Amino acid sequence: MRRGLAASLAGLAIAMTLSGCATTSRMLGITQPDPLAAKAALQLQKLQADPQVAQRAPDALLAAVDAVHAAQHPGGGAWYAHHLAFVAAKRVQIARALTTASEQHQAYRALVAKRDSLGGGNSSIATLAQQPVALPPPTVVAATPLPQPPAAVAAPTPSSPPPKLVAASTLPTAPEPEPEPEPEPAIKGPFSGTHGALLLMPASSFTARERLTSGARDALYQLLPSLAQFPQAKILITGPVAGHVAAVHKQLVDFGVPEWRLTEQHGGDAVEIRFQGEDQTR
Amino acid sequence: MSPSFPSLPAGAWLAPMVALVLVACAGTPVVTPAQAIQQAATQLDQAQRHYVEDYDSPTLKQARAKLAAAHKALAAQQPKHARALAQEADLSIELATIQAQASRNTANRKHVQRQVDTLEQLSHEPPAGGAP
Repeated sequence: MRRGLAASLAGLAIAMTLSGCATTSRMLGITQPDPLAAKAALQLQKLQADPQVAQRAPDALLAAVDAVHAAQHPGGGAWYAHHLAFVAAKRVQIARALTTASEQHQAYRALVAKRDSLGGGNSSIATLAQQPVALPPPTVVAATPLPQPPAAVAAPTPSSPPPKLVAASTLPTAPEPEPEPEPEPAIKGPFSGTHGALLLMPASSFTARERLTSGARDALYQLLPSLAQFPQAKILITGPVAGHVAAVHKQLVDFGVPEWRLTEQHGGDAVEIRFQGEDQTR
Repeated sequence: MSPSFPSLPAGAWLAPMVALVLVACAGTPVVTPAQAIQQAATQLDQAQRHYVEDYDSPTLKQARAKLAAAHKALAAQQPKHARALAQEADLSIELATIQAQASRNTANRKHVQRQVDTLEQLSHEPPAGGAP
């Protein structure tokens, strides 16, 4: 009798525990698979047919296989079947996304190696600066023209020497030519820099979440040739909002500017990017 | 002489049997619903800090909706639903993060491609006359 009691109690314990397991209803085949499970299974077939997935994301592929199998043999009710199907769909998408990310990263590394072999590398921006022909020239304000002599002479261009006057002795004494004004930065519009700043970025350059707008990102990209002109100079990023300054810092690093060149500082009314210190060729 | 099992009280067999069955059901998750929700919330915060939303806003929006539904289920004393929804939120965040990384890799590749194109152009250009 004691053995019988023990056996029945043990059986009761087993039954109570098993009833909480999804395995039970699955074994009994109570719940039908969610329609999403069939779509996930179809996507999985495509994944399995792609050798890149097995090579680049084998663990994710295995997880997708398990998830799809679980979704095709669900249990625990319709809501649980839908949950399993959702998980399966996501696992399949994750495997695909991991494969794509790996492919793009490999292509990126190959291009970096090619860039290095062409003489680029960490100083690729500086390398480009050594050959300014390929860079878009900064917008330069034309030098103040000299008083026009009777024989009209074309205004001098920034890259050519001023032409000689035909009869210098008959001309009034030309005033001392004004020194060529500092060239304007390449960026125009609301981002124009003044007072020695390379770039000024008002609050409108950032979103409510303290991220750069696409226009601001483009303006930073256009600033790169100016930064490359002095490859050893430190760059100071100043701004009233720490999140804005950090966003600019991060974007410049993403563009390839070495971290050691960048310094952040709090202050000012708008984010300002300038070379740090007087000696820009340090 | 054949061995004989010791004669034990009925209750002495109960605990080992329950333990054996619990081990057999190892697939049952051990994370509580509240912990699962907290983990998903932490992952969501990490994703937002890393600008994942810039690249994949819809998936992250879906994750937020799932997480909110998980909170509601937990408050409504539905732990299984809450755990399932937290897992779905977690998967959505993971997918959004990976897709954001893929987009970044693509952007980086294009950026370096432009540099390579420029360098190749420079290497093919004839030297300017008189220029240093």
